Amino acid sequence: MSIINYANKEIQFKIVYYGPAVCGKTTNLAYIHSQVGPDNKGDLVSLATAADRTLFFDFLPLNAIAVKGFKTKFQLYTVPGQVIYDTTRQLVLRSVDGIVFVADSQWEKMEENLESFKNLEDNLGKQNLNMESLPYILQYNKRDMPNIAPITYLEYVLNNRKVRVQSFEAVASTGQNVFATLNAISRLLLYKFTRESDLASKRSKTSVLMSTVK
Amino acid sequence: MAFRFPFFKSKKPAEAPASPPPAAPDVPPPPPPPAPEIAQKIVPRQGNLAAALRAATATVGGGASPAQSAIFKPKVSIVLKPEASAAPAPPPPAPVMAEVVAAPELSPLPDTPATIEIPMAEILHLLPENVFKPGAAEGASLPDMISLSTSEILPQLPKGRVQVPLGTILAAFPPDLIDTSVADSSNLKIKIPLHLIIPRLPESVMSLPRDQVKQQVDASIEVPFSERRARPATPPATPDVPKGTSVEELLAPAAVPVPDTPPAPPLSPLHEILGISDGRELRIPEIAEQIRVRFNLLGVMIATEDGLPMAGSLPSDLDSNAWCGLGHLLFQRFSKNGGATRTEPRRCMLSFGTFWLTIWQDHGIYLLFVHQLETVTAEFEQRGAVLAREVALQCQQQNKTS
Repeated sequence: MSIINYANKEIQFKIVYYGPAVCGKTTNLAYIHSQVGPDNKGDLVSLATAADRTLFFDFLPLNAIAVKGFKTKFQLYTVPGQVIYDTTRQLVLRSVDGIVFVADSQWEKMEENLESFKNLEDNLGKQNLNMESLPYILQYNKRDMPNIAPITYLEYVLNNRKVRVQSFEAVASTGQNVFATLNAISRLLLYKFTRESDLASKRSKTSVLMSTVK
Repeated sequence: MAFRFPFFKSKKPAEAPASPPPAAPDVPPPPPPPAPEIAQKIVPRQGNLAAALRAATATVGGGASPAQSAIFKPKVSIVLKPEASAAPAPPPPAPVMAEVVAAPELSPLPDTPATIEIPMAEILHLLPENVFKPGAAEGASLPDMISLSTSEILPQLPKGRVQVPLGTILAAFPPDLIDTSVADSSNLKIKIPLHLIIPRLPESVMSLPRDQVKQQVDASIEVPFSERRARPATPPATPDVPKGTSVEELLAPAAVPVPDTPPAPPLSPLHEILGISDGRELRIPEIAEQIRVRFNLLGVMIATEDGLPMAGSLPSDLDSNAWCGLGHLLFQRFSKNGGATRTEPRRCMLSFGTFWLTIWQDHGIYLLFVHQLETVTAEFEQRGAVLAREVALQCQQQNKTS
């Protein structure tokens, strides 16, 4: 659920980068952080283990365009991909507005990708959320590796649903399609916000009209 | 990277007492650990017999891998999700999100082979050593390939792994090699690497549902974020992945008829030159950056008639203010001299030894390129002139708007 601050005319969206361990979620955020101007970003908060794996989560606040008079702020989070940190993943998913599921394109990671996707669905379910209503994007990362699965297979196992979501081939380490992915999920959230805002506005006008008639 | 936690008190990074993110005040109890998968994974053992068998089958090739790419024909349609509203007018379309449905189990299609052949050498090391009789491999006739039934494989594809009973694989070996007491009592399943299976299957078995609808995206929403500088020049291994292009766009055939969709407006020359296909309005800084990437330039600046920099960047050792001013002065001088001959210079190229400066002028807007000599081609010259015109028009237009 996005946080709307009417006093400051500000709206905050929470985007979580989800996926199996070592799939490149933190790399995505690090690249975004390196490319966004200093006026539009906060500190990239990251807590990693000695082995450089994300232990807690990464957090990156970003300022973006104004929509309907509201300044928009995006908070990017990652989750630890390791299986044992499921509680942390559930915490990070609280009040999420949109998901970027980062899949590792390597053959040997297919099962982990699917386990992670299932875990995402399970954890959303624990918060009475589901992927029917939650905007999400797929990113097939590490496309520069030699042992990658074809897109047909990745799409078959991860995007085989009633609605085909947007998906991007990416190389997060070089930034390829990192911003395309971020922009895609951001635009979905902005669209959802503007649409709901329009609906709310229509409802309030109708209410005023009804009360006037009475 | 220096790790900072400005809004969290310092806490030891641990799973259980982890500090929640701002919007996560409640901590649900950790679920019990998942039950371990029983006897599903076999640790490869590299015993002597296995090594002997591998050597015996070393001549077996890896098999030809069919092309991995495939073309989807996604059905382009929009699903509208009705939403309750007190307003009498019908609500605008809701954003379409993915609905969760179970991935359909695959059934063999008419063009699906009943079996696929996998080189035995590729999976030999996956077999447990003790299923073979000691020393039996010497001089034995070993199979080159093993046939696996697609009816057994296809239902497992959505799970991201394929397992085959050990007995199925052992059936391909001469019976006198197998220790039947071990093989018969074993319920083990062998995990076959996917890269041995997927390329041998027709792509039609992985086709997506025909009634699948596309996630709705509102093109009127402005792109929120842009990169400050171009990505490093190291080319990716998959050069056919253009920036900002989704997988769906890549897989979609070029000439898919889209019913009920109004034709896209024609792209401006600026969009065409920069290779931007969505026709969105480009901001001046973005144009400068796109030009730099498109022509592999060292730097690009867009400057006003007075020589003031508007957008772009130059290499760090060059002063952008000075260079924009130089362009202004140069053209001022040229115009002064050229006035008598009724010529109006549009482009000026200067060499500075290690690099070149090319300046275009159009409608009082200067477009400065810093580049290497090799960059100068016929296309560079032709498109540079068009770009200068288009950039000038954009500047005028956006100046009016603002």
